[in-house]
Parts: sequence; structure tokens; C-alpha cells
Amino acid sequence: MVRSKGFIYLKYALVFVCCFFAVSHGKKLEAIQKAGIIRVAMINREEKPFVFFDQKGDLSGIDVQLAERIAKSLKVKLKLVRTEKTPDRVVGQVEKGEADIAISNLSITLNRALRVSFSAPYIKVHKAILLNQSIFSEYKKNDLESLSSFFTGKNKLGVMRGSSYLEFAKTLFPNAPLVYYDDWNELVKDLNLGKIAGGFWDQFELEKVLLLEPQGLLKYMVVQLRVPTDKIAIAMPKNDIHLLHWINTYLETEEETLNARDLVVLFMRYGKKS
Amino acid sequence: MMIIKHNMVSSANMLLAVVIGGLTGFFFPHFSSHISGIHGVLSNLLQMCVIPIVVSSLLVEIVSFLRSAQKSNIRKFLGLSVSLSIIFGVVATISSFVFEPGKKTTFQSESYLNERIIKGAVLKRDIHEPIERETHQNFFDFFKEAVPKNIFKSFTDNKTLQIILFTVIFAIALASIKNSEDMESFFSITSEAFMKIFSFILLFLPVLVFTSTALSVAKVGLRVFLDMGYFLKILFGQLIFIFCINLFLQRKLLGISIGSILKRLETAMLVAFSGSVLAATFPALNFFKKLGTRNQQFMTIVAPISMFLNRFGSITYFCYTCFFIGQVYGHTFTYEQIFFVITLSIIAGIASSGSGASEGITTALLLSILDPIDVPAGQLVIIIAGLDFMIAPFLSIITLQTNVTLLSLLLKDDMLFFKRLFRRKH
Repeated sequence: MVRSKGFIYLKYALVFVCCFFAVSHGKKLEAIQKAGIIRVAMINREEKPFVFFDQKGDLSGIDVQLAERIAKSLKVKLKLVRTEKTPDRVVGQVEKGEADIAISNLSITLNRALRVSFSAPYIKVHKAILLNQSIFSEYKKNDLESLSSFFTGKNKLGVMRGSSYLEFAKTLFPNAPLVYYDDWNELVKDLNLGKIAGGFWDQFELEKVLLLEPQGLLKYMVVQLRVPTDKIAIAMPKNDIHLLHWINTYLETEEETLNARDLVVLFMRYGKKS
Repeated sequence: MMIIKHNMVSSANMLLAVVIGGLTGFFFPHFSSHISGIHGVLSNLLQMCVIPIVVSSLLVEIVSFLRSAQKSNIRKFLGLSVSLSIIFGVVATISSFVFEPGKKTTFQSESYLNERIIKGAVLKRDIHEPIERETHQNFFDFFKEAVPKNIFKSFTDNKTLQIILFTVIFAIALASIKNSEDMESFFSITSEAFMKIFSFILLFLPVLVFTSTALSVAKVGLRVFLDMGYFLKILFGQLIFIFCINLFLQRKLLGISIGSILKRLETAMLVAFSGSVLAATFPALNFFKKLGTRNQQFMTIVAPISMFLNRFGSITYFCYTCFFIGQVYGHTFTYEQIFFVITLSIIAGIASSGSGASEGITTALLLSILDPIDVPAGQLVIIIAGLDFMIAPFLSIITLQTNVTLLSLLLKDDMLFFKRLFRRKH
């Protein structure tokens, strides 16, 4: 009898704790509205078509415009916090409370999801591998070479440091020797020199190489992986259920989910303008 | 088997059809969706007659041929076919190495083809799946499929090589049967009836030429010449050279003027241009009939087989394109590889005969040649395959014209012609 009574008390206590968290963690949205300003963390480098300076010198791009629309819907001012240079550090800004949310071409990963909450994705792109055709013909062991068998031994895979693809690479290619880069152009240069056998990023970034590199269409091969897509979402402080629901509702009702093809079209359009 | 020539089917009308078609395709590309239906109807009508005429005329003539005894010409025909194929391969190789089109071609990053090609450039694979599996389809599959499992299915699927093979076997069997005159007469009448339909369809040839040109230009546009201009320039240069050599040989062999040859072969060339080399066989046979040549029976048997299997235009194209791709990727060809490319281009030319000018077959055949010598074909093959239907009509004309030369050579009793030809020059 005593045990069952104790159990009932425990249940009440749990309900109370849940209600407390629900109320206390729903305050972020109210705080933003009360302050009349939303602080959005964004990477401090140009990444067309996500964030870049247009011909007039104004900041523009998919992420900038999304942040502006969210601020407008909340009827608050927008403050862009652009101090960090890697996506992981941008996530850290939200975690530390230096920004209310982060919109910065951020992929959802399990490790990041331990640190922050993610909204529903506003972009979905395939993960892909960039191969130099001549290097691949030279390095391949046989005609039945698959990606998993190719990236072993001397055949190294290049990934961007501080990006979600580092985590994806360790999961998808556990036997691949990885080489880390801070600059994507350095990775492509090494791929052409044969220092690495391939580059790993999303399909859009790799299609950009085909379009921008001299003779790109002839030189490279892009292999789109048949694995779950890379989902780009908005990061926000964990446990803030109300803000998460509001952002998800906003994305569902006001925004279209973009794919690699849309990004290429936007990239070409913005590229021509600037 | 006479083909009635209509006044509408003249070079001037055809040229006009090509010009109007090109302009329509370029300035009104959306209009192509309206004319594709007309194109389909006319093209299907033309194709509809080809197989019945080939089967019935081949059957009648083979039976009759086997009952007579003039088989020695077959060896000569095979010898000439192989020799001419090798000559074409060598000509394409020489021009590739003299002009080096691959080294002089630059691809603009702003090319409008990029978006179209980029779709084809991205491969979709599982992590454990072979990356290059698409290259496994090759021309050896073609030879494996040459023997029909079900002849009725071959007829419904329009498998020309299977049908021809069956017809030859059936004709040999028919020739060994006594009292088969009724059957032979049936096929003879069938052939004549289809020939009449064919003559009627030729009346619409200018419309077919107009629609096919408009559709081609609407699909690819004319800007393709910016990127592939040099490649096309050298290719068409070769084709014109071969065309002129053929005319010269035909004049010497047949003893008639070039103007007269062009005029008499006009219908055949226009049929070939509008898409079917095999259909051009019948106007070409008509050309020989009008000349009053001997061995008409032998010609009727050999001409369709030759037109079908001896794809001289395609041999030139495959050989030249392989070296072009190699040059673009900076590949250095060894003598063994050059020999390999020439040989496989000849086989690929035969393999392409049953498939028409589809993007898929050109891609598969080019990859079959390039893959064993480790030349990375990549997206360039897709670009070239995209140009296929623009180049194919001209390749058809070269195939037709060279086959006419081959048939003219067959008419000669011996090879003394060449000795006389060169003696005169000295």
C-alpha cells in the first residue's frame, strides 16, 4: 500500500517536472518576441547560393533570405551572428546561447543532435563522391570496383574538416584512409594530382565542380550514393519545444523543400548576377 | 519492281525542306511537339514496307539464285566488304592523327549542353555496387542475339538481322523443295504490292525530311557547334572526301557522268537521309536496273544484305570518335591499340546496323571499344551520343553511296579495272 502511494507521488512529481520543462523551455520564443530581435548564427564565409555578397555588396542567399522571412513572420528584427568559419562551430554558438538559432547549410548528424535540436529539413541533397576519371582508371583494382572496395589501402578519401561529411565518411567508409581539408579547392587540386582518390560531399557541391572546373564535365565522375539523403535544417537550443514546433510549422506552411537540382539552378542564377 | 519517281521528290525540294525544317526547329522549338506526330506516321509508314519487301524479294531471289549456279560472286562480295571496311577505318584513323581534333577542342563551362549532360553525368550507386557496371553491355551481345529464338517475336520486335538470317535459311530450305512455285509466286506478288505502297509513301518524303530536320534542331539546337565545331568539321570533311571518292569510282566503273549518277541516285540518297539505309536499297537497285546491268538477280540478293551489314559511315564515325575521345583525355595510343580500335570499329559498325541511331547503342558501342584500352570515356560519350541523330543521316548517305560503289565493283568481271584506272593516269 505504502509502495503504491509512493508510486503515485512519483508519477505526480514526474508530471510536474515535465510541465516545468515544457513551460520553462518554451520561453525562448517569447523571449525573442519580447526582445524584438532574433539572433541567427551563420557561417562567416561566402557559400553560394547559401550566403554571399551580391553586386550591391549586400548579404544575400538562401540562408539569409530564410532568416529574413522567419524574422518577418515573428515580427522581430534580424541580427546575423557571423563570427565562426566552420559549421560545427556555428552549431556551438547555438549550444552556448550566443545565437537563438543557426541557419547555415547545416546537415543533421547524430553528434550534432546531441548538442542542439534540429528542425524539419528545408533542403535534401544526396551524398556523393567525386572521382577524377583518369585517376580512377589508373587506381582501380578491377572492373568490378565498388566505392567501398576502392577507398581502402592507398586510395584516400578527402573530406572537409569540421563538416558533417567527416561523420558520414567514418560511418559509410569505415576502412577508408581519410584526408582532411579546410579548403575545398585544395581537395580538388589534390584529386587532380592523384594525392587522394576521391572527394566526399553533397551532390550539389560536386555538380558545382563539374560546372566550374575547366573541362569539369570531361574530367570528373560524380557517384550519387544510394544511402539516406543529407538533410539540411535549422539548429536551435535543445529542449525548447515551442520554438521547435513554431519553426517546423513555419517550414511546413511557408517554405518548399529544395533539392540539388534547385540549388544548381539558384547557383547559376546568382552566379550570373554577381 | 519499279519505283515511280514523283516530281515532288527532287533535290531542290529536299534542300528547301531541310532549310525550313532547320529554321523551324531553331526559332520555334515548341512547334516540334506538334510535328512529331506527323513525323511518326510517315516514318512508321516507310519502315512498315521495308521488312516485307526485304523478306519477299530476298526469298524469291535467293531461291532462284540457288537454282542457277553463279555462287563465285559471293566470295568477291565478302572480300570487297572486308577490304572497304578496313580502308574506311584507316582513313578515319589517319584523319584523327593528322588533324588531332581532340587536342584542339575546348569545352566552355557556360555551354548550354552542360545542364543536359550533368543529368547523365551523375551515376547512382550503392556503396558495394560496381561503379562501372553500365559498360558491361557490348557488341558481342549483338552477335549472340543475331539468331532468333522465336521468329514471330523477331518480326513483331522489328529485329532486322534476325529476320534476314531467318529469310536466308528459309530460302535455302525452299530451294531444296520441288513444286514450290506457288510459294515463290506468293512472295513475288507480295514484294510487288509493297513496292507500290513504298512508291506512294515516297510522295511524302519532303515532309518527312522537313519534320526530321526540325525535330533534330529543336532537340539539340545549333549552339552545339560552338563546343563540338572542330570535331564536326573534321568529321564532315572526311564524309565529303569519301563521297567525292565514291563518285569518282562510280563514274569510272559505270561509265556515266557524275551529274547523271547524282540524278539517278537522288531518291535513294534522300530515303537514306530521312532515316533508313535499308529502305534506300530499293531505289538503289532501281538505279542499277535502269543502267541495264547484268547479274540483276545477284544484285537483288546482295544489295539488302550489304546495305544492312556494311555500315561504312558508322565505321568511319566510331573509329574517328574513339581517337577523338582518347585525344581529349590525353591518351597516347600504341600501334596495337590503333589496330584494336580499327577492328572493333568495324565490328561495332555491323552491330549498330540493327539498332538505328539511338543514343543508347552509340554509347554502349563506344564504351565497348574504349573500355578495354582504358580510355576514360565519361561524359564525352554522352555529348557525342546526343549529336547522333544529327550526324546519322549523313552517315546513312555515305553507307548507301559506298555500297553502290561496292555493287558497281561486283559488276566488273575481274579487278582489271584498277589496273586500267592507274595505267590511264600514268
